Amino acid sequence: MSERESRLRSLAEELLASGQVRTFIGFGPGYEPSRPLPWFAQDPAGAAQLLLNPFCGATLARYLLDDGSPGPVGVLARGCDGLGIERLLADRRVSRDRVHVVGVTCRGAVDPDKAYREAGDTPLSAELEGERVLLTTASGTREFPRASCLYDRCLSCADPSPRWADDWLDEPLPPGKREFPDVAGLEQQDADRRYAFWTRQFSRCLRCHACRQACPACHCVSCSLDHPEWLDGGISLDNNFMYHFTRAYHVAGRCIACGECQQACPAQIPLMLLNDKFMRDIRDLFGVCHPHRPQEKEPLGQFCPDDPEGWREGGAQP
Amino acid sequence: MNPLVPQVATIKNIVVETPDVRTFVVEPDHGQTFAYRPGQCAMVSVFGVGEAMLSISSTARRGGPLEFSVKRVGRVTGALHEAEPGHRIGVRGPYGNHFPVEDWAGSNLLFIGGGIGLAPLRALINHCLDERRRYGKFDIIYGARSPQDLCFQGELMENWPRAEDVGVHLTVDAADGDWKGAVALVPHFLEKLGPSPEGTTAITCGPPIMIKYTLASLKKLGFSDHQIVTTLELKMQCGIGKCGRCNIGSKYVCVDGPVFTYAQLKELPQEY
Amino acid sequence: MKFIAAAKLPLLLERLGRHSQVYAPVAVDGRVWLSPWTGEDIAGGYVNPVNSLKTLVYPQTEAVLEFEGGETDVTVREASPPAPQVIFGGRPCDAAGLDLIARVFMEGPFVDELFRRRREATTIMTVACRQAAPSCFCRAMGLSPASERGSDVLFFPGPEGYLVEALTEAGEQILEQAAGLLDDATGDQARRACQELPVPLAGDLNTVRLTPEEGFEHPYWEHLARRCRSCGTCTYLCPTCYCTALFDVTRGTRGRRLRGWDCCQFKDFLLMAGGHNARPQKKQRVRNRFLHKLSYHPANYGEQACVGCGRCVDNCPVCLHMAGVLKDLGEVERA
Repeated sequence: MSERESRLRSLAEELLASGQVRTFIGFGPGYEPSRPLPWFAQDPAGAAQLLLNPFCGATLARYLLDDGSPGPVGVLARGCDGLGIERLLADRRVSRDRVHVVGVTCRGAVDPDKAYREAGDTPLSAELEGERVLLTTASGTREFPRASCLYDRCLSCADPSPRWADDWLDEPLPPGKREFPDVAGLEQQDADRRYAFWTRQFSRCLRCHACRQACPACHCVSCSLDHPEWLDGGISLDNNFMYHFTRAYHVAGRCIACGECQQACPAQIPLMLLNDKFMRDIRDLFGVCHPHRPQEKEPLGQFCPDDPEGWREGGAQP
Repeated sequence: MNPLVPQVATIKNIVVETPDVRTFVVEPDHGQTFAYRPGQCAMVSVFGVGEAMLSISSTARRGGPLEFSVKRVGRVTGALHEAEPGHRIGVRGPYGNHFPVEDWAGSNLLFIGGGIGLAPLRALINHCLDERRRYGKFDIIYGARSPQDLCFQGELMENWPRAEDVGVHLTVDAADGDWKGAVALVPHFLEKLGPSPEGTTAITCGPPIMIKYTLASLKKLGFSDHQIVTTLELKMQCGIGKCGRCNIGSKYVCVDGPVFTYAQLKELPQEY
Repeated sequence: MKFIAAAKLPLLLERLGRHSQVYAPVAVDGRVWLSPWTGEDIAGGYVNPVNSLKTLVYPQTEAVLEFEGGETDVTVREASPPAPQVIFGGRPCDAAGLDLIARVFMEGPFVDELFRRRREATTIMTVACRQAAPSCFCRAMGLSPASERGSDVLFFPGPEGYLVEALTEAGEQILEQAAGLLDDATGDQARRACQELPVPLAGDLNTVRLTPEEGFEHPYWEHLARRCRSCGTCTYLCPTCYCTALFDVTRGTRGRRLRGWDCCQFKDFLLMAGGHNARPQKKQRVRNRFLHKLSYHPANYGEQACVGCGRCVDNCPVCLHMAGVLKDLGEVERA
């Protein structure tokens, strides 16, 4: 057991025992070591089973919306979870006094499917060391490049730690700057090729709502995408485009870049490309340095007379 | 023949029952109205809006056209309420089981309805009145939110009370100026009337919350599980047991229901 | 038993394509889908395509009828019948799953004409498995990598090509179209290899037959449902989930009534006009899905509604899947 893991357990135990929180959300044992599950500890015994290792994957913030968890709720927060919690607080879906945030610094989570492909066997444990990942299987430990083992969403992460926490398991790292290399790549193509690209992507959509249900910014109590007046239930390319444009526009300016939507998509639609395009445009048009971090004044949440209006001149600028 | 494709039918007449309930008298444009029994339902569609499962409030043996008494609650029922005589709708059915009238020979019948729940009971009451001699005493207990929300007032106030050995007992949740009758919720009213379970079958139909408390009241009065018959309503799409929606445990309300005895209900998960 | 050389497979599909729409496994952006085939490379090396056979015989959206006109003069026309199709490359688990839901559509007081017509217009050419994924558990559900159920033709892959066996009349008819491409087979090594293929996850599972009386109120369901995100990944990928909704779509005075997949995990699945919802809680919806497959469906059809294809295992973003539930219930029962 790592030092951070034992600190997590004792902290969660303390919070539960003192009644400061009634549920603690973290990760617990799953069906195999490489797939820990979201875990909802409600007593010290539950807290004693909390896990913290590089296989802890799914983001947790959205569980704060579940009324099934009696509150106040403690939650383990990596950088992505922290931004998700900030999002829910900023959107007033969760109130600050109902959440106790335990911050931890994350250097990326190992994708068990990638690890299986790399190692050729079921991974039993993983360790991150700089640019390398040490994977242990039944046949021993070998090292692999970080990029071939981590979740896609972790490879472009600029936020290893939450921006604030009520307790910390370790020293937070300062945030970096998110870059958008894939957006530039797609923008270089002409309109026909871009259309062909998105047609291929969206034609696979199952409309299972996995992207929406994974997203800490997609938390409307009643979603327009469930209402046939706005979008009928027929699966067609048109409707799928409509679905994804609506979704992307709705989270534009509020997306926290956790990448959980793309991670959850069973059809592997590169949704973060759309989200990134919005974020990059917000950065360039509104001069927001970190468009994925909830701001005091949301650029798309207010009107300023000097807002850029490049589209008026007929150009899709930038 | 695809069972999901409805017959096109024309609304021949519309009777305004209450501020939010109308009875639609419907005849198919081609062919005949399907045969049906009291308690059965049909899928009624407004083309372009959608379908809703509605209980049939007419009585087949009287030979007239199909009637649906519909409360305005959602999109399809809202569109129906906007319709006029001459408008065309879709009808497919009949669906579900029916009230087991054949088991009730010689029995007293206690009908307990609430709100629009009287619609299927009306089909049943008129069916049973037409073979009045087969049964014992009839009692009809009916409640609505207010006096103006009482459905089928012609039958409630005129036809049924005049029939042989039929007691009609009305109650409202809230009275207005002219109301001289009872003011009580149906389960309380039922307990106060205190009908004897002896040789009696109780048939209840109404909103889920009323059914829940009425079942409890009937038990309090000493009715056995087999003496209580009720109907269930759950969201439906296909009506033919294929869409996987209206299940309660392994039963589907659309084909195994909507009529269940309390004894049957107790075998099912309490999830309706 | 016949044999077809691997190199001749595209010729076979091309020939079948003269009379039918052909579907085959094709790699799209790195994953294999059963796709309309127009001469693309036929994918190999996959365990199971992303989409199950269900998606092609019970499509995600299909028309029930078309209507035209206004309130007083509307006319209705049944949707046109489906065109013939041949699907090559589905797996035995999926074919069994299709047969399992076919019973829902074909048995009981009503026959589902939409399903019946499309199934009858479809020839299913299944390819038995030579490899299993860590998520496969067909053997736990009483099937095997070479199960025949639900297939019209079964292909057994070997090093040089496939052993080919017609299992139904439709299968025999389709092979007649392939005259000249097929040889008489000698030996049945390929078939034995498929039949004997070990399936990893199967060992620990399927120890329970849960009845609602025993299991309905168990706190396990609350524990399980906590992590569910209420999306439709499991049900839409599942080869045996079949819930649908009917809805109208109009453009001007013309419209169609469509039938489309729906998902019992969505919170409004049972929401009625007026606001009543029989399963408003996540716990109720998750429990209903698993009890449907493990208890309610068996009560009606005498078999569990899972074929162990492993899609829920591979794709649920929070590992809430059938293999896990079977494992857990074994422990719940022992406890």
